[in-house]
Amino acid sequence: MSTVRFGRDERERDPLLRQVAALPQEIEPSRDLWPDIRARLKQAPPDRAPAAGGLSWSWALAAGVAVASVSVLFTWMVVKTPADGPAQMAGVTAAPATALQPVSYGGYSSLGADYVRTRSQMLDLFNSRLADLPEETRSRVEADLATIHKAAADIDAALAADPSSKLLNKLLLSTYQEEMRLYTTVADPGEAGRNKRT
Amino acid sequence: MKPVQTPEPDEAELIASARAGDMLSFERLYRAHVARVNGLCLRMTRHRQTAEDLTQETFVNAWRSLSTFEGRSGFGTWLHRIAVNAVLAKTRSPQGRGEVSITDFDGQDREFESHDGMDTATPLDLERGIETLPAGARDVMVLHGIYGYSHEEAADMLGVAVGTCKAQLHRARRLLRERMGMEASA
Repeated sequence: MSTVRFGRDERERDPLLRQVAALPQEIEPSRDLWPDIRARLKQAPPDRAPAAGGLSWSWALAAGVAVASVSVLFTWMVVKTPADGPAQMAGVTAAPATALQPVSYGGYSSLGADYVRTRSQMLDLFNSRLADLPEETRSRVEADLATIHKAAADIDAALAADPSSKLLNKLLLSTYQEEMRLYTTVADPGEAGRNKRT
Repeated sequence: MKPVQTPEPDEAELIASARAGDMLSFERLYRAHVARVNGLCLRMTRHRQTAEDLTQETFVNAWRSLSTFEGRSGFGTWLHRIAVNAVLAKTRSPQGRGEVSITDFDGQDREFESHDGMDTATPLDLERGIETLPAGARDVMVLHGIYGYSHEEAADMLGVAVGTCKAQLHRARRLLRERMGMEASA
């Protein structure tokens, strides 16, 4: 297989480039990598964003972020108006939530130290308040966080193929904002209400 | 009775099946492309184990991102794009620093046997010469020189301006020629 597409002038002028272009493109790995890859694929099924005929992948990802966003808004309403039911029973502990895994690709793969510190503080506060919420509300919050985590993972997977995509980076930024909004919603519903979008 | 032979599925069919979750189809895509992906990773990292890890990473990322493959470029080109991203992400990460010195290697302290006055280098000489190039120049020489991507494509993959890509190629050619004792060409 060859994909050599030099400009004619460049190749004709430079014998060195002709020799470089003749180097083999294929170098087999020293071992069969497939068994290891297959084991990892089993843990990571391909994203099933609709292909041709349906929504494009970018709209599917945008929809994922929008779902997370709307979901957080409803959570704010639920947290702001606590259910009549009893708060979580003493002795029942919620597993502490974890922050979004850092993404590997795109412009936001390196987050600023200030942001990371603030997020870590908010997460601690979030986890301390989460345990006090009624079970139904807590389940709702955990589901929201899972939605946000999935949106970030999907966007990261798409960024692997196109890290400079402005749309994907914007979606990722929205996801980070939704994550912080959720933490704030739980940690301080009054503050979240003042900041929520209208 | 003549055995019925089912025609080999073409790449588009394999991609469609893999996208639907068929791992066997994806394995066939892997077999068809692994050597080109590994070749690229090896030349960009100059480290066999790292290159193989990144080749693995490339195929895992490709599997996860299959739904985003829109067929505007060839599947091999798409894989290479993912591989370059994986290489850059790895070498940019704190864990990667020091393991693969893709961004800070000045190309001066590697052993390289030059052959004075030769007009034609052997493939091994060329490979060694490319290995000794500074990272930016080497990346462009690999993508543009060996794998034939246009300056626009190489610049896009590397996240640099087209002008930078052209300048790096010019630098790579000059350094390679110097190190191999070749006469400057017109």
